[in-house]
Amino acid sequence: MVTIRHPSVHVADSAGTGAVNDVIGLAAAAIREVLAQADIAPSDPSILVIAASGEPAGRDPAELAVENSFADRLVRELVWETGLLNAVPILVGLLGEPVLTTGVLTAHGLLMAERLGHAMVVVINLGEPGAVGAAAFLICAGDGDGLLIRHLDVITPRSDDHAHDRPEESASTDAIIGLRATLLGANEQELKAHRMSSPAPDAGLVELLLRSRDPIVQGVLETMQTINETTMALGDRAVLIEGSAFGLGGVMLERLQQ
Amino acid sequence: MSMPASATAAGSAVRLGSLAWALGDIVPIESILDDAAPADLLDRLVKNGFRACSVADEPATKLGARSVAATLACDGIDASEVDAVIYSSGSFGRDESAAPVPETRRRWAVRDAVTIDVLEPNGLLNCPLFGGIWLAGSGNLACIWRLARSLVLVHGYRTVLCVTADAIPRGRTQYRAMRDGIAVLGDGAASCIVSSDGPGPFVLEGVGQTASPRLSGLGSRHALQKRVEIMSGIRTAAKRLYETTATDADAYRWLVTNNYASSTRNEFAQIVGIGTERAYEGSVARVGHALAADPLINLGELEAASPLDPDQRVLLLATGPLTWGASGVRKIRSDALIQQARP
Repeated sequence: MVTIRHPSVHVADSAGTGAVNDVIGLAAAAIREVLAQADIAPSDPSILVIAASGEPAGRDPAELAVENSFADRLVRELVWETGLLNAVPILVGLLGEPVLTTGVLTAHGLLMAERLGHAMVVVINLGEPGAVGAAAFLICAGDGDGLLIRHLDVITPRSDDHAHDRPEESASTDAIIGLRATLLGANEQELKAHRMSSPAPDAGLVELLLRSRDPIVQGVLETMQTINETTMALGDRAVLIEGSAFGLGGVMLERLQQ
Repeated sequence: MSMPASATAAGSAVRLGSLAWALGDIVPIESILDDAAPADLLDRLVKNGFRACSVADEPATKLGARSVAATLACDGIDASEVDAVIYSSGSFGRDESAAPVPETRRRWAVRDAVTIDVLEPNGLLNCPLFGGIWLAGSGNLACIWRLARSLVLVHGYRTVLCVTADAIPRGRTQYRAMRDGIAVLGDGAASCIVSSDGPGPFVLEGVGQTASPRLSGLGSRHALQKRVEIMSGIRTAAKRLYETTATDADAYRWLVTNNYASSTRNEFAQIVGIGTERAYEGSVARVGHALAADPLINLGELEAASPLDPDQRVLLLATGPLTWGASGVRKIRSDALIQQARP
């Protein structure tokens, strides 16, 4: 079994510019908090999956390509300075949502395929759209505690949803209902009738959908704050869904022990 | 042609094939030296094995698109059969002459470039995209293959298209000829299919990867310490590969590396325990160091020039500034197509 442990979220006081400077510091703080909560040596995780949504603000992509200054900072501040000295840093992102699901899927796959123990995942939201902030958590193989990953899925909307003149939010809405139906084992047409605000038809689920202005795009960090080991009771399940017109991700979690 | 017994027995093995790559114009290295280059740099580069390098008149994403098209054509793979695309690059500049990005999609320039240039023309818009894997620099191929392997082995993906594409931004000639003479940076993309049941011709047996984050804190005056860390990292990556695949250096017929100076290639061979006579020179003289695409190009050229026998293995080193990967592949069939994309 693979579980998520000790999620830590750090969100900037105000969203806006200066995202790179703000967010790397927030991500480093989240990593340190996870390590402290888990009471494991920083040298333990052998993988650091950095799932960054969007691109570093205020940087010329051509400069990034040559100087890799953003990459240098990620490695120096998120790996070296936090003491994750045995971790191989892998960045999956800069491409927008579903960034958290992609990060979890990557870490989960590497742990299982290579029989590793712990991976650190850090999710970075670099700003537009949404709040500047970062979440970090451990993904652990073989643990009987924490939030069990029961199901993971990354899908893409139909190709016509990518039409250049279609707003991504409306493109996502239809596809996200399909994903919810898959995750919940529910009837897609029924879910469409309920739309986003209705509770899931499966009464055994605690569905923690998102409360921000743009529930599909902005809610990842907020959801990670909500889904943790204190707010979920033993046996509770939570479904985390994120996405845009480019791709949708869903994770179903179940609380294993108090 | 029937498969050898060992391949059949490895029913759940991860297949690797449909190798392809795309390059820019091949130009003599004299033409890419900038005015500020040291007077003896050309001589040192030639002595180290460099004659020409690939210079593309298009962005990395366009190179990636051509390589992907060639990969799909290798074994007649329909885009609808591809379950996921893994795109790796350290070159995120967008060609200024490209079509303007629609307002509704302007949020993510990287995503726009990959979607519009790579996915859309190749019919891959319906595939999940795992992208932007770039912290390993020239060693990105190891990151891609680790992720692709796990998608196949753990998450049930059948066909994963892997592509790595890099291009030095135009006008950046000062970055092409490295002052220490260890490499001439070229532009290139390479791609392949990693799958659960594809035709091969290789099995991707394992990937050992390690990193030394402390290198990010060392400056140029720590050259010796950096060198020691790099050599130690490569040795550790190979050791992990040997351990996880129950192989040793003698199991590998060839060593394939990134396109560095011949002395560096031979040093790498000694570190991983493979004789320098088995270190494949590859495309060094013709392409230069096409960043992360090198090992895949060289594996393809090796197979095209001197096909491996079934069950022969190749060790591929994918090495960046602070992340190093050692991948082991084994040949399982001998009739595969490998091709370079046409400009």
